[in-house]
Amino acid sequence: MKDYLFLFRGGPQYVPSSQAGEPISANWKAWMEDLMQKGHLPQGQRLVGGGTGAVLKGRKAAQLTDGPFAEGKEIVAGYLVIKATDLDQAISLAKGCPIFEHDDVSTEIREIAS
Amino acid sequence: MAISPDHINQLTDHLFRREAGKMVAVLTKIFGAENLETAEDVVQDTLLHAMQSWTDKGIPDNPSAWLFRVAKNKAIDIIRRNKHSVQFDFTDDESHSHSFGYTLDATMDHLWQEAPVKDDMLRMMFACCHPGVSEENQVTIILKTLCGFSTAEIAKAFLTSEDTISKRLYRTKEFFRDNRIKLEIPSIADLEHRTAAVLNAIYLLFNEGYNSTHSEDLIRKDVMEEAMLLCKLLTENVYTQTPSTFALMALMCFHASRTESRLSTAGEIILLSEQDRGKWDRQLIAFGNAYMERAAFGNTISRYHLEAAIAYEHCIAESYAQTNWRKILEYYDWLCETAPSAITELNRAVVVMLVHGPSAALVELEQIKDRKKLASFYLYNSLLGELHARLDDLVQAKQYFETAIAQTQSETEKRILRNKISKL
Repeated sequence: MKDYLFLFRGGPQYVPSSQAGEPISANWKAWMEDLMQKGHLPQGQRLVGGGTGAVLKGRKAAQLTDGPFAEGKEIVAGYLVIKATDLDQAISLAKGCPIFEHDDVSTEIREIAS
Repeated sequence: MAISPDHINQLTDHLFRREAGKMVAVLTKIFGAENLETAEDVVQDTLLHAMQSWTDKGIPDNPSAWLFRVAKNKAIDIIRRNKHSVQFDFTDDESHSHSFGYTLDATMDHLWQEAPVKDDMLRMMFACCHPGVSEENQVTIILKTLCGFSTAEIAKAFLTSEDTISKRLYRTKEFFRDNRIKLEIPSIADLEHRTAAVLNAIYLLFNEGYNSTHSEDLIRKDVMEEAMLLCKLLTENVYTQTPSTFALMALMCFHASRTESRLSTAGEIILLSEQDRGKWDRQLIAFGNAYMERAAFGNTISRYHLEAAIAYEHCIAESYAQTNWRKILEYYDWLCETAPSAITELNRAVVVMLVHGPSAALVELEQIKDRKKLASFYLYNSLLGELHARLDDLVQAKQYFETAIAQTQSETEKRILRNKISKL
């Protein structure tokens, strides 16, 4: 059994406006503080490197794209660590996820290095 | 209506420079990177043609479209003439369709639309930042091909001879030819480190504009703008819009916001403590912040995130005295751990001086591992001068300032250092 990480992307997201004169609220600082407090490797887990993951897309999609960076645009909505024997089993588990009810969502699947 | 050559020249400064980069990118995609020279010649011809025609007949309603049409027709001529030439390798699918007469015009029309042009510029950036090209050469070829700088302008920006720049360009083009480099988005497996290389080149380019130690002008706004425009392209493309890309864009916005306050009308340096914060560009700061929001995802804090966060602290401080130096020091501590470099350590020491005093900063400086490399760097000796001045060791301070003066090529920098000596 290996550990696989599901990264969910999509759903409602905050689109920053860049109107001049608006008061600046730096929400990104919370994100950085959080990571800095957790230390270098947030979960102490490494992902297996380039080209070995998979990305599942919602709705229109049973289509499968290799690799980690196809959906850079979206914000990671959440993550889940599951156990599976291999990538294929992990993919079939991910396909059952209700997130695929929605348009424009995707799930990236990466093996966690043991 | 005939137009004065002066007016045409003004237009060439802005429009031509911008459009030249786009045309070179599209033409290089068409001809292949090994024929970059041909692409540049076509663009040069097109611009000359425009100068003549526009002087006689007036500037067309849509000058960009006019340039693109002329360049496109010249390209079609070249493809028809070279259909059987070995110089042009149309073996990949997209290029192959160029050689068929009946689809040529349609294919060509498509290539000059806005979206494909942007993609080609991005591909061109990946080619320019190929790992086989040195960092120095990367920045040089980007300025030449994508930013429309002439060899003479690049030479001026780097305070070196045109000959040196020509050699750098020649070497890069030779590399493209020998390795048959194609204009393409790298494969998924390579995308991360290839994008990092492009970001690094943009960062270097921006830095050259931000503080042109090599140039007579201390700040080169045009170079900064080019770096930001190129980075903006990367933020708009799904393949390259990584958190680091957004963070680099934010970093550049924050730094660029201070441009107007950094030099006096006489061109003298105004240090951060003396700058008129009312002159800082609030809109750019807001843009930077918005980019930073988009940079805040994933689980990695890149050096660009940290450098942007540092720049942001300066941007929001109402006065020099109210700057949150402790927060800045915290970011620097992280920066030194994630992207260790002697230059970062040196900058961190400045913050240590402000938080913990000059003695503590001196100790930090002595602990920098690679400090031998810094010995020939003017900022290192300037800081040593500053620290000794604050510790009332005026003789030492003067010596360090004098060393620094000898080490910078910028007259403006020299003057501010001499000014520091006179105040000892």
